[in-house]
Amino acid sequence: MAEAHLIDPTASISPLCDLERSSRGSKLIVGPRAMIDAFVKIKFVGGLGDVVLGDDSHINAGCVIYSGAGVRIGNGVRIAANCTFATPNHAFMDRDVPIRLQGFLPSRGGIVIEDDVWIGANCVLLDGALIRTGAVIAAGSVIRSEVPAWHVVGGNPWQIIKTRISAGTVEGGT
Amino acid sequence: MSAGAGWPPSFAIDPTAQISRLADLEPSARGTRLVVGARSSIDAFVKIKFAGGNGDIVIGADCRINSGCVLYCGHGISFGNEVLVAAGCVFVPANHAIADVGRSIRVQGHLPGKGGVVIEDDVWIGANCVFLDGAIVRRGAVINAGSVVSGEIAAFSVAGGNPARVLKPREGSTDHG
Repeated sequence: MAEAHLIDPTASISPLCDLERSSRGSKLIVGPRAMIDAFVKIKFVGGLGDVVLGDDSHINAGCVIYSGAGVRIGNGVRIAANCTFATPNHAFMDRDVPIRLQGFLPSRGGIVIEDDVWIGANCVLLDGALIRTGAVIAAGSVIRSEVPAWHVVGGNPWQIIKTRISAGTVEGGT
Repeated sequence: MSAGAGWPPSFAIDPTAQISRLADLEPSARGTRLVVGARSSIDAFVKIKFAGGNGDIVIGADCRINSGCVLYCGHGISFGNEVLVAAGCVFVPANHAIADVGRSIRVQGHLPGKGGVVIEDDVWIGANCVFLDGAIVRRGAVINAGSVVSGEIAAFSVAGGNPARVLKPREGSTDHG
């Protein structure tokens, strides 16, 4: 029996997205005033984690989220179009067995996005990505590790571009 | 294989293939073919379009084309068997001609083909990669997320970047693809 989604009644879910249900007890939890736009795909595969979208967070068109060991997105997060959350990783140690039959690697903790993060278009987040509060990820970046709070980062592999903190105050960011 | 109920005559989709009702498979107006082999799956929001050339799009058996991928036929796309394609990848073996700055790109047509895109058996392609005309990914290779591939990638290697290059052999690797 597939798990029902737990979607707050004030959330806005496009009729053109595809939110699959887990057959193994994982849940999709969407907070108040969150938004999921058209052509977003959420698929429960490669682990037993939940997918959690916090209050006032937006997922824009064309994003794809695979649950793996879990995807936790905090409050007030902005995710631009065509980002992929590729949480599970195929194992491929044995060249004599097709990759599709080798299962998945052990989890590195899933994907965690803290509050007030902005992720630019076409980014890829992999297992082990941990994006701290207030960070900004430039378009096209690939992230698989911890990104410090209140910094702007980008690239593949990513680097720090600048800090958002100046003379003890936080600049920009709405 | 035969064109199943409801598919256009230029499609040969194996009856055991799983095609999401939310995928958009646009038939060719010029007779070029879409072939999908046994047990392969094409997920929601995949777009297949016959544009930019007269190539066929041939997908082997046991392949996975995940959500948000876009395939333009251009000079042809060929996938072997057991090819795993993560979300958001674009296959576009066609290039606009741009030599004449006196005319708009839109009216200059396309460049001659470089062989299309060829993906051999048992390849895993990470999320949000781009494959351009002339890309050949040999058997058993793994392509890291976010790569741009326009040349040949050796068998059983791990490759990545823009432009993609081989980073290491697959054996002993625990890296992400």
